[in-house]
Amino acid sequence: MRAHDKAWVVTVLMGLGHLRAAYPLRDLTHEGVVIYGSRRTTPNPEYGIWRRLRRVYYASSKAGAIPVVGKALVALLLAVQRIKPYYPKADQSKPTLAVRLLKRLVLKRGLCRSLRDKLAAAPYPAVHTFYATAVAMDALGPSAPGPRQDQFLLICDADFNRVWVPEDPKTSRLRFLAPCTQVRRRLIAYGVPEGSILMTGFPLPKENIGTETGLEVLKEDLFERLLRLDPAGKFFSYHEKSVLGWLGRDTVPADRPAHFTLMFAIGGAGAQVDMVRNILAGLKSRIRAGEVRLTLSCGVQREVFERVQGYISDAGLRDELDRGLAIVYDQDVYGYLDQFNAHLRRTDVLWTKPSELAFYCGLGLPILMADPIGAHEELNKRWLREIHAGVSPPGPIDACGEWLFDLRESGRLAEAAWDGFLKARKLGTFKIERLIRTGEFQEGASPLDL
Amino acid sequence: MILFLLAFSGAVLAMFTAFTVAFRRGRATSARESREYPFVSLLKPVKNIDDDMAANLESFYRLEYPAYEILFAVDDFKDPCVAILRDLQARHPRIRTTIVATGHPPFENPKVHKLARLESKSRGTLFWATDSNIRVAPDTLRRLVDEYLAHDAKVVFSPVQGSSSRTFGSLMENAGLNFFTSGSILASWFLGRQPIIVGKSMLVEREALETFGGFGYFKDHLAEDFLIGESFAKSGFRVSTNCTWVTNVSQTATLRSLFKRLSRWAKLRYHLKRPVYLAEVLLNPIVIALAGGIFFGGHGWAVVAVTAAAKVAIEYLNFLFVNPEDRRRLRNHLLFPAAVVAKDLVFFAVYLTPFFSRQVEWRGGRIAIGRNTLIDIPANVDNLVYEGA
Repeated sequence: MRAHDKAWVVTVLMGLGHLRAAYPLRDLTHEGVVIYGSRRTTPNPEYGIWRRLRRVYYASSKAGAIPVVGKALVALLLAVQRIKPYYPKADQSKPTLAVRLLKRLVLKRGLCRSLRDKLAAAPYPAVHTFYATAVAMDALGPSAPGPRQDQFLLICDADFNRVWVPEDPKTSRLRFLAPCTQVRRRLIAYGVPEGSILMTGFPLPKENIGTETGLEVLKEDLFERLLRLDPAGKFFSYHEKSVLGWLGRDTVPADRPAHFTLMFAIGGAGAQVDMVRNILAGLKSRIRAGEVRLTLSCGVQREVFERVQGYISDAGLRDELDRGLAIVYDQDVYGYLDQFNAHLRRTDVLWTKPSELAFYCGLGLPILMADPIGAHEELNKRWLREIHAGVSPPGPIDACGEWLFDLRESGRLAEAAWDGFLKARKLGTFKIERLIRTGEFQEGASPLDL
Repeated sequence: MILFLLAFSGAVLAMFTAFTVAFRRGRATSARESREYPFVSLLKPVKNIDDDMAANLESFYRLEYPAYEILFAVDDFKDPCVAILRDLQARHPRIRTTIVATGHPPFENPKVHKLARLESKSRGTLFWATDSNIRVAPDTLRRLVDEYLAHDAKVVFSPVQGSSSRTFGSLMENAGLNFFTSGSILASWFLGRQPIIVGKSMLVEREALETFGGFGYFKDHLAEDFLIGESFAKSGFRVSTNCTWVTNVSQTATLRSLFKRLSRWAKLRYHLKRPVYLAEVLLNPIVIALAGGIFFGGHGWAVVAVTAAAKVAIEYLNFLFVNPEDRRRLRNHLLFPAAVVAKDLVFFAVYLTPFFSRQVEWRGGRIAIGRNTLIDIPANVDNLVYEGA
């Protein structure tokens, strides 16, 4: 591959996950992140297809909340998104119905045709964070004679459906950026040649990391976080030497901050918004006492933001805003992501469904796992458990004021933070940038191979 | 069936009249003695010259209120209304007046754009946003603030009295405002605690608005007034009214200008609450009766005549009680029955427009709208700015 100073970075608004993956790559972009499928960027009738897909996505994300039929709908959703078991190992390269349908949308209905024209404007490689645009560019080929642009597809989950891979992966020129080992295994099972898989790690925000070789910001934040998450010193009694060694510290201070900060991240579709009411009920007295600070990440949907404000009012906690309570919300998605990343630095526990945010455990954040939505999130949850960076709530949500503090007291949250730091890759952004700028790729032996 | 629909329609419309008549003088809010009134910033987006504009604006300089400022926003200083604003500014040096030229972004709610710019220049703890064709009584602001203070209301809204009719079109427009608009505002509030905020007048607390990020929060939607009420209520802020009326001065409306305005409002309502909009036709008894007349002939036409007479009577009651200025002119009394019937036929024609077009004409521009009155932006693959799903 040739070296380029810039790349097209293409994403799609389908929740916030794919956009969150694209945003850290913004320094690389030719003219900003291309958010395809949105009202402003996509002409009709293609916009209509995207709008319908988005409606199905949002509706299915919220299906579980529907009384009576909700569970049946979720079961149906899981069946549609089904990811075949990896074991026993088998050739899973045979295209599924979804793969053929996507190809049909591209070739017969013109999906992504205007994107091809857009990308043809400059001969840069393209990094996609959503499968449909990548598969479409691969299927459509160039709109004009000349060398083909390199197309990369970043996988945004720890395991994924066959639809992310083109119909015939052996002849495809699409290359894949893998966030973790299981993704590489799955890609091979789907028939992707090993040479087309690059183990980069998930792109995390550089502002939460620092430099590639120093990880200054990450190390500073993590050390402070571990102190806040280990008030009784249990975690440090096991891991003190390891922490001091990796984080470049000499001693562990005796004084620990009394409070810690929990961030609850509502998914882009807003499906978890009603949990806020129970979380507020569970933590109200703790917030008032200054024992915990709660950050509510609402995404970019007005409806979600307003409902969260309503729950805060109902709980009688409006006066705690900007003290024990914070809201992360912006109608502009970049403004939201900036705010989110800034708040993450002060966050000690991230409570979220196991979406792409599962990979944020690489920043040394313990992930408190809300119920997953979809098969890929089930497998993200499994991955988090495997690396010990994810913790399942041990009790009902409205008792979180009890179990959250017990988890903290036992050092389990600090341990999850530490395991995430040790075991999850955190240099995805730097590795993808280097890949584009030098045309070369070198895979580290481990997540901490800096 | 037709008779049942007419009975239903008549009952609802009689209720509208009852509410407008009962609350025509507003409701008393508890005594104002010993209250410390907060500083209020009056925000007025203006464009071109409205009917009797100087007198309308002058009324805001005669408020019986201890501390306030007035901020005007125009697209640019070439706007003909700027001369009127400068004149007012010169004649009332004791009231701080600011005039700001804000420009006009193509795909934002132009009124919200102006309000957001004025917000950044203002000093008040309360904002009172009013349209340029609004005239108020000297005690209006004090009464609105009384409601704010007494009930910790973060938004205080008002019913609208249409007044000063000089043309047949204005008479129709003002009748519609006094009867249908204000009737539905009051009925929704008192029966269902549903705030229908008409942007003609709204008092908003700055601190509460800032939790949304200011007026700019509503910039992508054309019905910012309705959405302000909805967003505040959903967010747990109290929205309230003590029925302090403001006067919408419409003197020279033509059938064409009336149709345009009503069509705009119809499209907004259609895109805000479609089921409610679809049901609105049931509140047009003359059209229901006409449909009956066409289908059944004979007695059906008698029903049309009786229905029209009843509708005129109900609205006339409203006219007598709610519109004291217009009732002083004999011409208005004589034209009123014809105005009511013509208005209802125009209302029906207007009612159909959202089914055929999403384009809204406003202040010389055309804006297409979608769900929740979201302003449409033409697709352009060169435009990479995020705009929401």
